[in-house]
Amino acid sequence: MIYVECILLVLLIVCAIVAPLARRGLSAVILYMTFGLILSVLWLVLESPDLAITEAALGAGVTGILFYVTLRKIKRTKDD
Amino acid sequence: MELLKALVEHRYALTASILFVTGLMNLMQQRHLVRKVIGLNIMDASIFLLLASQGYVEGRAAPVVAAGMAEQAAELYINPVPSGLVLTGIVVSVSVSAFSLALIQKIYREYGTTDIKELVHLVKRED
Amino acid sequence: MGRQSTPRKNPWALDPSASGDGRKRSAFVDWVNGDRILHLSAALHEPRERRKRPILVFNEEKMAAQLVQFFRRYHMATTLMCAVLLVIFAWVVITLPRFGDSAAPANNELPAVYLTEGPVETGADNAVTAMIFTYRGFDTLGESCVLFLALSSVMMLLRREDGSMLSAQERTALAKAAAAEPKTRNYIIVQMSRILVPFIFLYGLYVLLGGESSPGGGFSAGAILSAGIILYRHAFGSEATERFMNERVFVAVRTVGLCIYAVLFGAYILLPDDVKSHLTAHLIMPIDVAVGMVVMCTMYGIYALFIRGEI
Repeated sequence: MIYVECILLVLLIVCAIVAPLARRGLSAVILYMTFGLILSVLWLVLESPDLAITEAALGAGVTGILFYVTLRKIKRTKDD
Repeated sequence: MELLKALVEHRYALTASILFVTGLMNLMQQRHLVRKVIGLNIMDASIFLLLASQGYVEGRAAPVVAAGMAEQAAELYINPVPSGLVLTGIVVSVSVSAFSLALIQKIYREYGTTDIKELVHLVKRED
Repeated sequence: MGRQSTPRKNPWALDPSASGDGRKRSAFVDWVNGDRILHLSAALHEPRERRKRPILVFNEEKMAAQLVQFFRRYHMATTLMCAVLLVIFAWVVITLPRFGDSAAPANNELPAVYLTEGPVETGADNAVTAMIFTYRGFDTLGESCVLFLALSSVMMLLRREDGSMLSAQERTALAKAAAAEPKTRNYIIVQMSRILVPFIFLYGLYVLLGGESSPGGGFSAGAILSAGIILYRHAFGSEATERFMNERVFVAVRTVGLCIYAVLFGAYILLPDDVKSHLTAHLIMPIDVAVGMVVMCTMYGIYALFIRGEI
């Protein structure tokens, strides 16, 4: 069980380091959603199912959508 | 070696500190404003990880008390307090990110760019 | 800007035009409003202004060079600071109590009380839900206020004005956006959301109403329901969503939810003990539902404001 936790934590760190460095905005948002997903699994490992549901829906879902919509607005309205 | 054993034993707190510093560096050094907000979110998540890992007790279950077990409940379930704090924190983190993104949209509408260097240029020129 | 010399005014005189609306206000009110500097700080400000004026010539290349050098030093300084911070954190974190230790200072008698008394007193088996709505209800009240404020701020920032106040540029941008919206929705998303949205709503309601005796509760349910509404809106457009979630419903649910929470939690704190014991076992469910609705409306409202500029 410890090995699973360690692998998940290492994946978490890798996602966090790579997500803001991605070249395209869409890749950054998808990597951020992956970060949220791995974090949700970690909440389950830490025996907090409330946090897991909330993080999966809010962190990985809603925040990712908001980031994506903002990126679309910024790139799209550039040719006004 | 005992250094490796100490690192593995405190894995959550160490990951939390690495994530915090990563998020902080992104918040301070990235040029695009949306990536700064991603860095802010990563910092928030690291603090939640640290908090929730302090509430875990080995061998115990999730804090949903089964019926009729209320007397020995203290020995069977993990600490619910940090879980509650993190629940509040996740929602506040989403609110702050949403507000920052709305601000970024307004900045873009006003100045035409979301690069922090050009923004500093443009804002200084207005002074 | 700042090149013409302003005659030195008596800061305590009643200046009719200081706040811009012609009424004479006292100096104190002006200072509170930020329209006037007091005498002492006026003395500190004015000589500096006179000295700085020759240097305020705007030199673009020098400023660009200064900014480039500043950013280079800034990068090195922040990297160094973060490395030092990482070393300090790692050093301190190793001295934390052992992970999962049941004798850690965090696991003193307080969680034991929450786990044994909580389900009995509040009628909720889920110890986290029982704790955050009754024992630690102020935190949750503050968080609901934060949600309310965040949505209000986003509304203030992003809300599209009514047609008469738009400039010509914004009007053409809006026309272009309206013309560019796809006439036929994305087929995959429409079909999948026809299947998925009912189940998402059903699951959200289950998590909401079962929040007392199983994992879940108000916030998780609000998040799931908001995801369902966002998917519905994305698949079917804003006209279909406005049939059941338009602005009046939205504002009503938000304000009524927050008021319900405040009133019920105030009742929980302030009522005397004998009245409270009848009430406490039934108190969590309305608070839970109210908070779930507030969270759902907030997340959906933020999405709608981002997409279109109005709810």
